[in-house]
Amino acid sequence: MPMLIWNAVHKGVYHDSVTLMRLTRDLQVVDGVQRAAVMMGTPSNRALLRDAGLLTLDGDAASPNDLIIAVEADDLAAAHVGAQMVEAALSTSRSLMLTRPTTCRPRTLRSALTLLDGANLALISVPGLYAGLEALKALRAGLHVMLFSDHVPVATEIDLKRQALARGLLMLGPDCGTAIINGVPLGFANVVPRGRVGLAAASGTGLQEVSCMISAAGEGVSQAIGVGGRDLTDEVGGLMMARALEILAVDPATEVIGVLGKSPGRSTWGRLQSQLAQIRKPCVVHVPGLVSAAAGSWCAAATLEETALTAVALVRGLKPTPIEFTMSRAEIEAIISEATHAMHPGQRFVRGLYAGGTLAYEALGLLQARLPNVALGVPGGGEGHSVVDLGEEQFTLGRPHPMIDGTLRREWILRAAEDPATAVILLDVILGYGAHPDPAGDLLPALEQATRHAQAGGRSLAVVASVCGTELDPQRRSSQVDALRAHGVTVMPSNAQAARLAAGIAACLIGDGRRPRR
Amino acid sequence: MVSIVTMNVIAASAGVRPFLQIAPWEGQIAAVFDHSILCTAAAERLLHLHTGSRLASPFSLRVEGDFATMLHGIPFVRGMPVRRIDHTITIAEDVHLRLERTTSYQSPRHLSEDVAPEAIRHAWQTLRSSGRVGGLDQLPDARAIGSAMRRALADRHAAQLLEATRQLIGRGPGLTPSGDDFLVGCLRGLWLIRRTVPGAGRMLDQLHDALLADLDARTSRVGAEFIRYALEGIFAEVLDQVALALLAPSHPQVVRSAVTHLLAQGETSGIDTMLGLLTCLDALLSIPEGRPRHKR
Repeated sequence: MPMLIWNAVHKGVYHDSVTLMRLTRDLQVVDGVQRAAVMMGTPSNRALLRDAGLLTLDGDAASPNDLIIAVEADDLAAAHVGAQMVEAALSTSRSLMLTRPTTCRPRTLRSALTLLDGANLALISVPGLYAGLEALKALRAGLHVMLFSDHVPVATEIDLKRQALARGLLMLGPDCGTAIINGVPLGFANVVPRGRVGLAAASGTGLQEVSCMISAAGEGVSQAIGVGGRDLTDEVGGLMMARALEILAVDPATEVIGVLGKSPGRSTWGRLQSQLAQIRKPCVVHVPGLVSAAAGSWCAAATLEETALTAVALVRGLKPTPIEFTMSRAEIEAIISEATHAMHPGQRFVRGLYAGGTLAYEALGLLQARLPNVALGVPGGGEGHSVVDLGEEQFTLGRPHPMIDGTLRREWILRAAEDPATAVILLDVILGYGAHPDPAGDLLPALEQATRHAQAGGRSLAVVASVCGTELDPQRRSSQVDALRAHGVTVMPSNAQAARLAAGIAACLIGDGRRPRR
Repeated sequence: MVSIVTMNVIAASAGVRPFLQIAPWEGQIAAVFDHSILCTAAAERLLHLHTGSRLASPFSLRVEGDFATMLHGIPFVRGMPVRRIDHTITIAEDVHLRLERTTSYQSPRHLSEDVAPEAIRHAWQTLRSSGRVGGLDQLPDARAIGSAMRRALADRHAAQLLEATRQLIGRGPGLTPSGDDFLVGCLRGLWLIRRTVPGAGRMLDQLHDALLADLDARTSRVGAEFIRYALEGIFAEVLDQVALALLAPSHPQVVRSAVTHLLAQGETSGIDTMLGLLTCLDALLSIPEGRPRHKR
């Protein structure tokens, strides 16, 4: 069958090696692309490409400072897809920004405001040391602020929030990764329809999970206000959570309010409960450790999924009904039986390898409630179940976040597969703006390799995942789910259900102490 | 335009010292990466601006604070002006890098001592336990090139060494082709043992004379810059730290820590450099490939 060889030459452009390697890997998995190479056009590399039959006249004319992208494809269509992928990858890489007119890119807040008359919100992402000053400039200019930056001193956060409140403005963050304001997604957000549920959250991936599940249930989000992970501490005192609730309480589009928090301080939690009691709209609250219950005018939800489904029920005037699994008990038993029947007696432990911090902590809590000896942040291997948040700073130093690049998680998947005690690999796959364009596809090669490795050792691995996203996300949720399922991954409707299933499989293995139950 | 950020430059590689001392110059941003900026300075030489605990190249300026995060917040683009006036480097008129407190880092090029086989063994172990593969290893002729280089070094054969080196330069993936990284590692090894191992110093001189002439035609500008400095005995601090850790006696943790820092450089650059260094030392110290002699 005749093959098409296609070369693109990017002249005099530098891209770092991480970008180049990622592009090579992405090209190699495009349907219809047989081989791909991305190399500087040095004489030696041109000879390599020539010997491999991958060099065209265009590529041969490249200089040592030019970048050659060489693709062998089945047909023009596949080459075209490859070409689009190259353009997308290199245009999002910072180093190709040289082709854009620099005069149109504002470098200060003042010049940005000149270019965009009427702007009323500034998204700030500069080093923590300087973020406070930039946020203050924005507040003084009358702008709401979403402060993506972390490492902002807590005193600065308190000062900024007080100044914002004095001006009637929102100060979202610092360390605020997700928000949807008036239908505009900011940071790592998903494409969800506008609707009747308003969310206020001190948790990024928690906000994503809840807003996506509301969307999946056929409802939408009026506002999703991220307040920053520290807002509910007693130091900050929930300054912005209180303001967010005031806004949602009077927002005509908001009929039900969802609140997501991370371990609130004692006095802040007390004030929050008092405020919730005053709100004349139904409220559902999820903070770690809270059990499902009605607490007067508001109700507590034990998981992110329950928060979403309770909000949906309340908005429809229905009684919330907590669920453990969407599937029937018999179906779950069948999945567990199928997963465990070929496992080796030594396989016992769940290895949770997470990109989302809140999702990791939710899984940790659910596993700890069901299994003994569950630890956070313990690498694959060793005695006990583990959940690792690979988005934590210690793992991302000098590397992209696992929501953007799965390289680190692939390494951990392989490491977990090499451990003969690993029974279940538990994963989250997060979609939306800013996330990897194909996070499932990014993980699948490692999952295939892990499965092969386990099989070679006479073992069988169970891989359980949840996909946080919507059909309207750039990655399309159903495509991601299909791709995972096609490779033997059990995809559950939510992170909570995935964690419960993983715990169920492990519990089954512990059941007789040695062999899986039939 | 009002400056929005002022930061201190903590350390400068010896290679860029002239650009911090001569008359004012104006260059421009050559590339913006996720965690660093590459600039041209006077005489079109390169400057690499980054943060971290060690200088990552022989033409680095190490900047304090969270420079990498700042790169995501400020839309730097290629071609923006970079100027040095007095004790300040200004980037795109927005960022001022102050040079008053900058210490100059000098590669220990005069240091040449016995290398500890145990330390080399720890280095190989650290490299292998990382589970990562270098860019050179992904090429179809990687084994042949590596073997040719190793044989030429072991035999102290000038012509073969030059031929093997020419095979390496500009070969493989990456902005700095993997072969260049491997060669820089080899050169670091040669500098480390040039006075203690017969023939090492002579090979360095031969490579220096033969390679400089057509370096720019053979590899990328960044790769050529690394090799050019390496031939003069000027290396990245992160590579020097590994070389120093291999000198006897060295605690295994010191070796592991230094190697781990080097391996973290780029996607494969650190691995290829490490492979080059260890291949060179194995060959010249007559240690079987990857399996250093054990004390009995």
